[in-house]
Amino acid sequence: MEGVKVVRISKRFGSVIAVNNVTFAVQKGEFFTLLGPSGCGKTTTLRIIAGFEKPDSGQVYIGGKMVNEYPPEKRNIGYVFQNYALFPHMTVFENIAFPMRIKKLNEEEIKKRVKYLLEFLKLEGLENRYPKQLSGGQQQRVALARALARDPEVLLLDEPLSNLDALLRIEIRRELKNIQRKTRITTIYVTHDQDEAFSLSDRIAVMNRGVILAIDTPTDLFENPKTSFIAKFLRYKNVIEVRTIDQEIEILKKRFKINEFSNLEKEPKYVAIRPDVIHVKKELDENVIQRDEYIIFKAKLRDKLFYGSSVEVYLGVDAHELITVMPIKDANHLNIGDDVYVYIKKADIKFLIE
Amino acid sequence: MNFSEIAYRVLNIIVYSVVVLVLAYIFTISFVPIIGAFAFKWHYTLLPEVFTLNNFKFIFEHPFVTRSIWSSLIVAFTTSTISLVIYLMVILFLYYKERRGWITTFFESVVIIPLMLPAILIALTIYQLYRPTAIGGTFLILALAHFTIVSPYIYRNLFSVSKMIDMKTLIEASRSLGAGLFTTLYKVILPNIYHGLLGAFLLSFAISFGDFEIANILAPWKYKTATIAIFQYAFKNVWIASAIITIVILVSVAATFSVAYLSRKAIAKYIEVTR
Repeated sequence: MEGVKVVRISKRFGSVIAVNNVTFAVQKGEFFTLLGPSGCGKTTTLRIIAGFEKPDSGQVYIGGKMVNEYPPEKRNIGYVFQNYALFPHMTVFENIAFPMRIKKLNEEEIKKRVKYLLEFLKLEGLENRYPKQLSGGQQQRVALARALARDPEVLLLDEPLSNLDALLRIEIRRELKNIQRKTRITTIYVTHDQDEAFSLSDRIAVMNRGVILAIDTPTDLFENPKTSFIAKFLRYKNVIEVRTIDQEIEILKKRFKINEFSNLEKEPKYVAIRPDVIHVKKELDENVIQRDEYIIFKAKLRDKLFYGSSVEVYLGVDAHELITVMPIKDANHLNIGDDVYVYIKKADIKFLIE
Repeated sequence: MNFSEIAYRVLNIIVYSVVVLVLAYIFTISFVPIIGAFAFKWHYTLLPEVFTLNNFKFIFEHPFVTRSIWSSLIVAFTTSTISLVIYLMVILFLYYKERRGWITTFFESVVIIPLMLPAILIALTIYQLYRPTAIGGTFLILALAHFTIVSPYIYRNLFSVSKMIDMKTLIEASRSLGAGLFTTLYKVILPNIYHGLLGAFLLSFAISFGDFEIANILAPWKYKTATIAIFQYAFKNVWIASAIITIVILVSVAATFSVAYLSRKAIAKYIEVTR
């Protein structure tokens, strides 16, 4: 069943092309995320779906119906804004009841549904408070309750967690996922945060400069980044330019036979290596060399940054730098300036053609 | 006590003295005419030597004066209402179409022009343009001129208020919840900018009510305003002029509170009815 379909939409603001020929379809009940850096066009795409912006070209379908000419109030959407946009002069109860009053539901029904939403979003006891008397997390929940109160066909969320502190963000993220699981409402979520996108979504569309670069499940997207931009954006941290010469490939100035890599198909321009697959040892391990599963580089330990549960280690390989993460106990054995060996499993190297 | 402490104390004394002097000056300018309205004889004393209510009696016995107060009220009310409605629509349009930045910039540049023009120039231009038309002999010609001079103030006032509440997002939020533009205006926008609207209305009312320069040129005979009456009596009997000023102030205060009360009630009633 079709939830939302966007067909070749484009939008230009002056000389800036915000959205360029974007097409995707979201299934009914799916949690779909538009992920990308600031200014990539993800919010504009969401606003076009909501009806706040008119596309210069292309069509938007909600529930199989073309809604291009419908104003936002006729689209049956729920929209949660980055700053929540709660009505300051209304209490929590009145904010949540607002869409139902517009629908002219009877007072009994409104009270029943508001009560249900207050319980559902753990807001009991706050119904008589005004938005300014609530914490960020509570405001976020009220905004969500209000959006759900309309019983919308599609829920559109524009970076709703970005104003919350890190701990609260994780907590609300779980709640959001649970709510979506329970309601099975078609959801389009906009964020620049990879963790949010991965933990919440059924599928993710990565956007940059107004175009969609890839659409995939979180696992497939992470396992197989299609471009160097996606790899960088998904925090691969080590995206290195490579070149192929005859039947060899040069990585960090070291040449390897192309047939050594089973995952190398076309002529790659970059390799992407996740920090967690880079291993560091002070000595050469003969067993590893014999197994021929790894490529090995000599490196100098340039820096260590402590991140609580792990340590980020910066390794100099000639003029390049590789970044790895390791547990504190392993990092304690290494000092800045040490000569070390870097081991990377061949299967963990992603070859990218652009 | 070192030098910096002494300097700090001296500076404190100077600042307090200036504040007291400014307050005393404003107090004198504002209240002396009111006290004067009750004076029969007042020369070299702190308060009038002889008090009387005859100055007020005189006003109500002379239709020219009472009519002038009514004229001022009608013109000020018309000017304020029209400018408020127009600029509310302008602000809503500019805000909702925020991305068209050049329209806002252009509009702002145009709307402040009256600030730079002498009032007499505005009066004479409007006189030349509209005197021969249907509004020439009515109070509307004066209201039109006052609309011109209050425009920059009303616009800036409403602009700041709408910026403060992030009107664009509130409108979008309301519409995403199913409300049309009119419901959004009454249920969401007006209750949030109510104080700003009232402020803009009062500012406009005060400017229009207090104008003499434009009214003196444009006001038709039937609509001579209170400021013209004050001016005329200032040279005949200053205490009668003071009495007119006092009534003008009282009427303004009463109008202010009435407008505040009525509009608050109207919005509350609308919200109650549309629940």
